[in-house]
Amino acid sequence: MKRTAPVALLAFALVLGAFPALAEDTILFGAAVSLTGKTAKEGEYTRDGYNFAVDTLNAQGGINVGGKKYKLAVKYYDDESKSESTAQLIEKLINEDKVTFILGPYGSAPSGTAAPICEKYKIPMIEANGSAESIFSKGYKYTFAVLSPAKLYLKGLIDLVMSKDKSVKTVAVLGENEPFSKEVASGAADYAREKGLQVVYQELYPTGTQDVSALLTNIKGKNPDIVLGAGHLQDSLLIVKQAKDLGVSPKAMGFSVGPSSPEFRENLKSNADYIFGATQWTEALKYNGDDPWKTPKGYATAFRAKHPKYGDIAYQVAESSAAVIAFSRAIEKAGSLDPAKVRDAIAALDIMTFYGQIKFDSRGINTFKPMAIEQLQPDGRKYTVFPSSVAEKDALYPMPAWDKRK
Amino acid sequence: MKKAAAIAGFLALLALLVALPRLVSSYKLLTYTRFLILALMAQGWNFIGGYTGYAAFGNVAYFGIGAYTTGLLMIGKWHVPFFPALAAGALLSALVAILLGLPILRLKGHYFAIATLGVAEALSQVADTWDSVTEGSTGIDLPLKTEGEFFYYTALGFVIVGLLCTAAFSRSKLGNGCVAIREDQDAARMLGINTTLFKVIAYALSAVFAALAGGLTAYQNIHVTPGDFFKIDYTLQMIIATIIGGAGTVLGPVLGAAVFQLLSTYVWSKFLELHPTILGVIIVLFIVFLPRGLMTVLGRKRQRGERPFRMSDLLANVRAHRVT
Amino acid sequence: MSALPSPVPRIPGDSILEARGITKKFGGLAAVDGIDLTIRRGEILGVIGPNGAGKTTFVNCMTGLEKPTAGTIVFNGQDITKTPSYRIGRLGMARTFQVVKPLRQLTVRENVATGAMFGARGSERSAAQARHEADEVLERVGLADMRGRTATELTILDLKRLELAKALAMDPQLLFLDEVMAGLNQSEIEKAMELILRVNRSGVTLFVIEHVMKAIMGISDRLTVLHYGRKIAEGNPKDIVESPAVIEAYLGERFARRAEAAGEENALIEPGTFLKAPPAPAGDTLLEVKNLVSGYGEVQILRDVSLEVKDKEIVALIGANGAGKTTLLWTISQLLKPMGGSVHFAGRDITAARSDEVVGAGVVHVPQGRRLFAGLTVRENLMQGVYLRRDTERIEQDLERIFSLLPLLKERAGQLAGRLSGGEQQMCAIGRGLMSRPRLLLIDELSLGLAPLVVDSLLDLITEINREGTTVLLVEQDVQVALEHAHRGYVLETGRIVQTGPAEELLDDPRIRQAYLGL
Repeated sequence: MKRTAPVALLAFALVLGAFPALAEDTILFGAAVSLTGKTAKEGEYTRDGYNFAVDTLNAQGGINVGGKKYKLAVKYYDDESKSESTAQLIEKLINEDKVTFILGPYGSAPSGTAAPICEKYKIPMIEANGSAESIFSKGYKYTFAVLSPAKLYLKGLIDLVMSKDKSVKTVAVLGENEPFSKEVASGAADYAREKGLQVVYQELYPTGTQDVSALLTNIKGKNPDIVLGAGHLQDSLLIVKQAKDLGVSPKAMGFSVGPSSPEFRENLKSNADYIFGATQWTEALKYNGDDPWKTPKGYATAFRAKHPKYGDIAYQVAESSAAVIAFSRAIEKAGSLDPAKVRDAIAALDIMTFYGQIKFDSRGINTFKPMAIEQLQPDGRKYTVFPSSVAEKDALYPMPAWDKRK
Repeated sequence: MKKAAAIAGFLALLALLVALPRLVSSYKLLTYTRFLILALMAQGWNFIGGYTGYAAFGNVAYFGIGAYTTGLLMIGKWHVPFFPALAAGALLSALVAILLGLPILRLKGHYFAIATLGVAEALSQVADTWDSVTEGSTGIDLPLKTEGEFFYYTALGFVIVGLLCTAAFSRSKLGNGCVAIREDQDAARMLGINTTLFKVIAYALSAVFAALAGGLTAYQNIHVTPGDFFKIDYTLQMIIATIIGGAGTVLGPVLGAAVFQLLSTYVWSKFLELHPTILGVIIVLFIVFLPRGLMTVLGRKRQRGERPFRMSDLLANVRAHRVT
Repeated sequence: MSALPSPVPRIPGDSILEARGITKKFGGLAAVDGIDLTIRRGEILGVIGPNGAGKTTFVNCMTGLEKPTAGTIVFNGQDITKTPSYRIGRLGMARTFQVVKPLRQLTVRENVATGAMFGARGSERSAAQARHEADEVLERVGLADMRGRTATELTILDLKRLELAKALAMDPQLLFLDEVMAGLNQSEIEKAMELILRVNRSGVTLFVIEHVMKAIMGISDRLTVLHYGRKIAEGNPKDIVESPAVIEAYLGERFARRAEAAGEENALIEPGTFLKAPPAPAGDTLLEVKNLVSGYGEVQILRDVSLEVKDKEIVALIGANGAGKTTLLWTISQLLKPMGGSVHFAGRDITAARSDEVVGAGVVHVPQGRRLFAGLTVRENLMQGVYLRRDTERIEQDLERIFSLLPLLKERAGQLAGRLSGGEQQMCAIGRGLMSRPRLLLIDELSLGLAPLVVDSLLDLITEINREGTTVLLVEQDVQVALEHAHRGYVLETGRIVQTGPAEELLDDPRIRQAYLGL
């Protein structure tokens, strides 16, 4: 037994450290994702998503560039969930591994440090997991994101409620003091004002808070029609629980993060009913795209066949696959492996995929794909209820007051 | 003869370091810059932790102050050039260190360590919540500068200045007094050493170096957030580098930073997923077997005449510090 | 021995330091209680007094390490009562520490140079000049050969020299020496005396705290006696040692009576009101120590010690400070591993056994300084003693027995041990020892820091325990007290047993006075 450990380690090192043996006609992407550290799980989703798309495309014979078939491969490094490592690794990928296309890291902060490096070397990067405005407000030409920006996370929810009920007037927004959530919260508040609603309450709470009752008491006094939360799963759970205890009963309540994960229902049981959650993507969406899987359902089925351990497929997986699809389409369109030409092709891209529309605005961000809204309904299931054109089911509205429920 | 050879060797090394940006890829250069910045922080920590013997666990606070001051002065309405902004950051750090040092340097041992941890955490909270100035958790964006050589040469310059400062310090009365405080504070007082003054000076010096490293890193990373610039990782790295190299020695922090950076780069490129564990094990082995750092192994030669480094020295050290 | 320079001529009435009404309280306890003291320029002032008399605390107050609760200090005409300690050093005062405080990682030269850098003339010197100055001082104290060694490599004698060299490098006018001779052997003491005299002849006024009576008598111009934080006598050394008050304070009450009754055989053996040990039982040998060698690091403290303790005996181990009594107890209980020789207990070889095995075998050590768990209650402290016991049903019974022997502990059972008075702590420590149901109890410095009355009752307790069958090996500074309560005694001097015999014989032996007082 003792002997096997070093041997296994060595083997492991060889497998991981060895450069993928590349044939002449392989396009190598580079990616620095978090495989250790605090976002290791999400980093793994990202890697699985990239790999799944690459494998699927390769199984179909690769991609066609200027009449020649190329296989795809990805060189990975671990950024340890530290954004300062990302810059270093992108330098390494470009300088030492001679990578000419970058797939983005996980998270807004690392994407933010990767972007200027790509800019410096004029190497295009498509990222799938960093939606903060700050990355796209600097005029970078080589950085693109397939996902909807943070500002738009709760936009759909406001649209949904307004389409159901013309009489809504007031909104309260709660946000975690953390870059992504702050943008979600301020984006939601701005959009509400733009739509003529009155934002009666807008406040940030510290990361890792254990009590929001003071904020909720305040909100109760304002009696808003809609309560929106921008934070993480634990915060959403806390807000729902304390809202029930304090009798905060708006007509609609929704969160940027939380309701889409299974823990939300497990934790709140029937109290989770009627709650809305924003998500980049669900497998219930009725998109019909031009890619190997066509529909979200098709993607989910194929992915599960390959990764049986996955239950729900996290949207990070899907958006990462979508980034690879977008890249390969742009390369095909450019008909060249020249980074500058590929960059222009990406900027001009407009395709429909299983993930939704992929098209970049002048800043490089995909503002054309709407955020989906899910609702937990009293039958114990979760339905995609927005956008209406691709929804599974109609939303239940308004949310009954806590004391009026069975 | 020996001296001439040493000087020639040193000059050759210096020439190599100066010529380095032309010789290596910009990724390698970035790695070397990281090493220099770590060396700079470790040199700072060495003053308070190595020479004076106070386990400062919150030096990242000054790293953060340096980063924020540099960044905030460079953007907004001032648009101060980088170097004056950096100097202001270093100065402010020294000031904060003096004001905080006066009360917390009275504490000893782990109480001091915990107090410094608290200082770092408090400053991180300030940066996180003082939205109107620091933009809170969103952080601030500095002007973009992508020339790797600039950061490399700046860091190299600071590290060389740091070496000269440390060498002067270790020969000065100030350095001698600080070491006396480390060895026995009561004895130091009875020897006529104004312990409070000396400790505060050493602490402020360490803050200045941390601030320089912080400002430089801020300009290099272009984005400064409380989460990234007040995290304990930096404190731990500077302590580990100093201890690996040899706390309370002139070259130790730089040597330790080099070894740490080399190790982490190597381990990291060989083990994609297990590297933090493996690096951790290597650091533990270092500290178990060479608790007083590499410089003590190399330094024996100096103390005991002409004895070159021998494996038996290393083993003797291992035996002497074996955990029984 | 080379001839000493002649004494510096003294101007009568010229004082270098005047201390008035110095009081230092720790909590409610006055360690120094209103001491008036004058140090004359150029003299050697010797200071004696029992442990806990406040000698070191007084020096701490003089040198600014502790701020006196009340009183004023005038040095060279300047009030320095509130001056911080580092500045006092620069004014021309220096000290050594009883427990040496070398700068461990530094070389001998660097240690001394630090003194030269920051002392009275430190500001005149650069760091390099200070290093040069250090070499000269090292020459003077005979440490020149050691200048390149780090302090950790030095023997205890050289560490004491280093302590002195550091102080001398500060160019002091007044130097406080706190037990620089403790732990030195006879010949070392003589060298130290010569060195101290030389220092004085070079113009440094000295304040010397010392337990080695032979030394203090040999060098002091005047002698001051402190007791319970007060000055009880001062004057010519010869007169002082014959003063009954001093004998009573320093040598013990019974010893004083004994001295007074010198020549009258019958008066000596008056039993008083104290319990006395019953006649020695002719038991088997319980503890046998053979040719024991022990010490710390490279410092040898015990050099070939052999002794035996029979079952149900009380044996007293006496000797001067630093003779090695504590080291012997530590080595017997294997808290310190012997370098040579053997320890047998109840026929079993326990040399180099683990200390918990030794406790398991029935040897329990009540260490000097008590070492109670200050944050636990008295009852919890007592229960720590049953750690190795398995007969749980009898533990409660034993606890009751200890409470009946020491009723004060029962009253205080719920109090934190840290809040107890010194005497109560000592009782608690002994109680904890008894809770392990020892066959052999090793007690180190029973009377240390305790009022005589407390000592008496503790001695009664030990006699009581012994009657119930426990064997006791007792280390005690108060020779008379120890021997009155023991069956037999051993005299330890600089790491060797120099004398042994029945307690009563030892009590009559004039050599005991020499071993203990160095007279």
